Amino acid sequence: MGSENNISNADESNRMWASASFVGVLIIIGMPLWWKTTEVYRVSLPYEKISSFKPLSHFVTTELKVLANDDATASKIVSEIQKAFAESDIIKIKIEKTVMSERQQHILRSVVDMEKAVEELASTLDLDQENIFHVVQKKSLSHNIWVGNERIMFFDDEKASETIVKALDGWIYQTSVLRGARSDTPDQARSTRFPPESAYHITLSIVHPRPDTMQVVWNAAEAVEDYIGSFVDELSSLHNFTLKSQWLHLLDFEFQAREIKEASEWGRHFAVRQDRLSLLLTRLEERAATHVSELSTINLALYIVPCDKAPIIIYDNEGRKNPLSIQAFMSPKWGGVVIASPPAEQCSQQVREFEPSVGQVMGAFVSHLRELLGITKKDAIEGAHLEPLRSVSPRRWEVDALLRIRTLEQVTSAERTLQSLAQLLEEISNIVINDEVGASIAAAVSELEAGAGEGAGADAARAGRAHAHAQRAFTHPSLLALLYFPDDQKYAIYIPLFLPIMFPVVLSLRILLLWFMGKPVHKEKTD
Amino acid sequence: MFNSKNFLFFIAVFIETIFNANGDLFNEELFIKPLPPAHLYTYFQFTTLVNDNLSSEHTYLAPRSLVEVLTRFQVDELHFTLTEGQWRHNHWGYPVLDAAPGAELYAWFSSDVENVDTQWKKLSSTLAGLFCASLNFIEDFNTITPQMALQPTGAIPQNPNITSQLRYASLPREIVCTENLTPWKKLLPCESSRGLSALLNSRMIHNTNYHSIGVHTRKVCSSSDCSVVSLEIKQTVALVYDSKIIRTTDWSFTKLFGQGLPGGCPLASSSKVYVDITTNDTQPFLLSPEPEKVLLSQRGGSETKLALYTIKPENKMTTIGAKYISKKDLVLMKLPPLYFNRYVLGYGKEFGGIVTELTNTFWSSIDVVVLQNAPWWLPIQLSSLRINGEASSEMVLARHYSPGRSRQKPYHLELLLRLPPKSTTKITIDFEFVFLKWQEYPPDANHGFYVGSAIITANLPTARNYTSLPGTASLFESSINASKPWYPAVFRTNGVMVSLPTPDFSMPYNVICLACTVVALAFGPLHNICTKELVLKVVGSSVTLKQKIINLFKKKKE
Amino acid sequence: MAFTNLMLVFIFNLLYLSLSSGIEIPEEFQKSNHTNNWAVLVDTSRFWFNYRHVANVLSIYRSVKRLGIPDSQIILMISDDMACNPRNPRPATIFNSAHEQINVYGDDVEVDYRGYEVSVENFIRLLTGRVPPDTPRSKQLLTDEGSNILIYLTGHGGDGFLKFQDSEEVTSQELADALEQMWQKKRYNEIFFIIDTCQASSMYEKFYSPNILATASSLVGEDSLSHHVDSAIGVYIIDRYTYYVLEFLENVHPNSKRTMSEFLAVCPKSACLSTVGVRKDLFNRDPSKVPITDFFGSVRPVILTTDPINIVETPKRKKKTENKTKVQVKRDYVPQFPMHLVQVT
Repeated sequence: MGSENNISNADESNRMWASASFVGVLIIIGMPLWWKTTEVYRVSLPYEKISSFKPLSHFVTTELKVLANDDATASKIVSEIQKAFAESDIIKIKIEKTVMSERQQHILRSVVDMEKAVEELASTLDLDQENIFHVVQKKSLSHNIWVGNERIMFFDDEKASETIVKALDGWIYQTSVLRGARSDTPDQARSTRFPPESAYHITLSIVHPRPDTMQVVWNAAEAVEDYIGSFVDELSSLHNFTLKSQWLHLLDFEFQAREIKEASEWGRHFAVRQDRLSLLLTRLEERAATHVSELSTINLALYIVPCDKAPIIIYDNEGRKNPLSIQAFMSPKWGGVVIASPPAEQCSQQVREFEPSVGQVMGAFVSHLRELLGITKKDAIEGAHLEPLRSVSPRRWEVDALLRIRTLEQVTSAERTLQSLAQLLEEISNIVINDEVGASIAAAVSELEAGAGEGAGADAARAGRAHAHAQRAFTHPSLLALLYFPDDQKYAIYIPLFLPIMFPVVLSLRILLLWFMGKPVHKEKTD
Repeated sequence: MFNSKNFLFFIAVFIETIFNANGDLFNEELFIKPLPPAHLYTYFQFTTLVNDNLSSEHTYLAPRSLVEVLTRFQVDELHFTLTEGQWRHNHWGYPVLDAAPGAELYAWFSSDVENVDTQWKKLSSTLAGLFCASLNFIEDFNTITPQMALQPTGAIPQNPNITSQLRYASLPREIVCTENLTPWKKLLPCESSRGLSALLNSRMIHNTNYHSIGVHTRKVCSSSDCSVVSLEIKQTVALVYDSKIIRTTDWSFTKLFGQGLPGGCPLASSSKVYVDITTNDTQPFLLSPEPEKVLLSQRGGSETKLALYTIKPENKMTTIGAKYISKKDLVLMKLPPLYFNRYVLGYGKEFGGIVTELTNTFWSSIDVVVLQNAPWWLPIQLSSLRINGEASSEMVLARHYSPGRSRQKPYHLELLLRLPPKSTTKITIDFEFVFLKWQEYPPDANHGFYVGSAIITANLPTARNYTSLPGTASLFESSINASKPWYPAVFRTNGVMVSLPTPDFSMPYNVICLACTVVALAFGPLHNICTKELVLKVVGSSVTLKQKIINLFKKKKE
Repeated sequence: MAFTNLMLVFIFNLLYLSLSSGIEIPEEFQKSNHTNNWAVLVDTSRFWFNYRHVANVLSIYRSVKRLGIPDSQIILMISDDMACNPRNPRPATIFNSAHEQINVYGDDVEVDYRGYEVSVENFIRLLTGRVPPDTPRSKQLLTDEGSNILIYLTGHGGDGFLKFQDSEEVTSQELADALEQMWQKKRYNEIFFIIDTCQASSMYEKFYSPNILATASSLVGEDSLSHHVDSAIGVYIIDRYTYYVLEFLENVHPNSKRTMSEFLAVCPKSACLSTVGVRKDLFNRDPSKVPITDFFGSVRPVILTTDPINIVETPKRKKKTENKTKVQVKRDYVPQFPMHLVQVT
């Protein structure tokens, strides 16, 4: 009897071990294996760092040097500026005051011409240094302050302090634009300028609707290279540019212009309504073929008006006639158009040859490009004189301001992108993050951590990199959670397999537990 | 503003440079050839010669989009065609440029390009956007590098290894419709408003037996020693009208294109229409208006009469037409020196074969290169290659075979053959069908799978039926009286279609359910056997009657 | 500025809720602040007998193009070639009505994705912007935070899915997730989502991202029906819902004052034979105050130039990009036939 008992005990333990091995294979090995293999692959990400980003807390730092004839004036100006910008959460200005040396004062006294004075002064001041602006006293100015192309501003005396602050705020530092660059919703300037990218194409299209009736003399290549090229070279620290030009012949557009009689050489002009112009952009786009380019294209178009439709004058939405001699308009994030009408005497000739003025046309295009690339219009400030631009190059301090705007914009955009991504990963469980994307995210985070938010030159490049990395991470093709099973379909497939298999295994688990605890495994049926 | 001195200087500079910059040349030509008894071939050719003195970023007559693509990917020579229908060489003779059905793209990259395959992939996806075609389906597994069949038509640097820069792919399934014609027309300097391109009305040209649009770019010599080259962009349209569709053998521009010609393109150096009136002798017709000139072209022993019209930009609504005087139904067709046919052999879903038949009707032998290109899912075996039923043949002068690899590389076979005079040569090669993965089947897998055309490059000794341009020439007019010792031509055979073994696509879920059920059914008893004890229930001492009977049966069985 | 606006809207909403009715919302609060318009038009059906779906999508294409959205901002996906199909008796045309004979294919159609390219994967990639490298820009949805997007889908669907090419399907969850990813990446300002398929409303039920207005040709459990057959073409040529939508849109002009609520009521049950579903809870504005051109038309702000630069000195670019001192390579034409191989033997 004892041996039989032993055998049955041994049998039972065999069975129990068999049962345990099923449990072991299916639950302890199988389940984690299944979990592991069906798991969405994600490299670990610095979620904490990402969530600690506060895009709205970024500000830029910059330096300002106040130079005055005497210490009192300097202190007064400095304190006014400090007071004005103390509360600012967007810009921190490091102000340094100096009393000018005798030589400097002499230069400023003796040289009347402003530009000359700046030039002379440049030998004593370091005006080439980015992100440092100079406020210099120069007596007997016609205005309270004078701003030119260099990183320098002249002011008359301490009464000018209010104007100085206004000019610093509105022109030099453009705090409202900076705020717009940082904020969640775009402001006017941000919805006008192109989104930050490492490179752009600029394509000039010369639209010549009637090549059979008129010859247009215009060297597009040279104009683009010289004017646009010189302009964009100044911005080369921010973006790379590729310049292109093309001719679009026989592209006709119906302006629906109204003929208006007038006493000029033509005896008429054609009035074009502003709201009609957006359709010209669509018509241009059809032929300009800018979608072939790999990068965003800034479109510039010179539309040559045929003689029978000339001259064309644009009327704005309020019905006001464009007072300028040049008819031009731009469209945000698209580009600019100049409508050039031939002069009357050309159209009356047998052989018509029209040569649009290069300087005038390019002047309009450069002013378009300035806004499209982020150099905003400068509103007039009372008592302040801003020297008008006479060349294609942007003012030095405008480039500094643009650098600050772009840096701030890219930093906040990169942070927002990363935060969105982190949130998406939380919301949608099927997004895969492979090593490459993980590396991109890590790179973006480390660039941001390395202090990309300060607005100086070196940081601009860092901000650009952070932005590019974040962008790449978000739009990486591998991220696409495609071909995943929605949960209901997942169960439709798993249930037929797992339910019948797991059912007996789970049931045996109970017996197994009892056995391990030394309790009687099967209730003896009562005899 | 400008001071006047500056201004004058500017004008002087500009006028000087303008003629350099705008030195592009544009020519448009239309060639019409009746193909008795019932067809009419019209061939448009728009040639832009780009002055390459300036950098490629600035264009005048050339399409910037295309030039940009060529420069970005450093393409030396590019040929792209989109074709619907099949050119019937034995009935229609030879076209000026032949094209494979569907989309065909091949390009030579500049010798500076090291990673040709990636550039090729980028080029094809960029062109996909430019022409609204699915060229992004060009991958490694449908790209080959022909060794003998294709030669660059342009001027190339002396490079012994030029074929390594070549890539060729064809997508025989590609459809051709208005959305391809529209971007194609936008590449022309006159777009479609003026000039011969105004005739290209989508509704009319897609109502033909055969239509093909193409873009061919190459470098042509612009100096006598050929150290300076310029870019030639040739855009072509070939149409074959069927008199049954237009319901009359008489034709005119209005019947063919829906409208007359609104004058030549004002930017073109010349706009010319040529009508082949050689068949006028057998099938007399009257042209209206009278041609300006009738040219007699003698080329390689065959004579062609061409009626010439020059279209001026100021001409308004020209329409050229032909009226047949008498209709003779019986027409004796002169067969071209070489024609071919291709078809699939076999039945069932295991093995099959492709046959290419080449017929030489000429009295001397003709050298040809035959390029067979089979996708990876149709493995062809070189060992099964038979020429006229024989495994080895004297006809083969050279051979190149590159075996395919599953999902990576197509099979590619090239043969250089010398076809004996007055003979038909039959090249047979066997293939086997393979199963694709579930995801690899297209949505309409039961429609069948297209196999691209074979390329046949021939060195014709005669210009009979030959209309192609001489190699160095850009314009159609240079094919007049252009006798040469040889007339090289590249043809495409018809494509074929096979039907691969195609599963029932509702299967996967059924299979999953079935397999799961089987596993579950098997698992239950297995689990029970292993974990449960089978105990004979011994109740009391005696065996029941029932048990006894069962035991009895058991014993009997033993 | 934007913030104060938001605050105003918020305060206003509070007022609105508390007073519950009788207030007319001032027009300016309904003003959209989008700066560009895009359209994604998708036909997901292959095969000739689905001609009507292609006609559907092309009808919308034609309308949005007429109302001003440029081709570069329309992504058109068509699964099969109907216009040049051998079975089409009139090549290169597609008609949306047997009586009126409008060729919706037109002469300058640009199909961005066609044939096999129309797949769930490409559609989701397009929406989320995660396209493979080297995708041409014409095949990308280059929208930004100021874009209003019109999404129109047509095909065969069921409860919670839409079939693509009869071989795969996009589920409502996938679509909702894709839209959420777009929202997170600030790829849209507002979306108007239209779907014409059977049980269409199931497709928008899972949406959870803000600023989406959705409408569907039928509710869950209903079929969307086709309108009529053209005996020359031999198949049904348009679906009911889109037929009435197009009829409505044909009378809309770029300066039209029609509102979205008129559009949402375009097909009553008596005409459609199915109930048109509408989902407004994600949408912040009142559809009856939203002009239809906010989605079907195109805004393109134009700013007149008032301050061109008066360039005095003629610039000369210092760093010329082209320092192409081309090495003069001797080039030559090669024989068009491998003659060297022939002569050897």
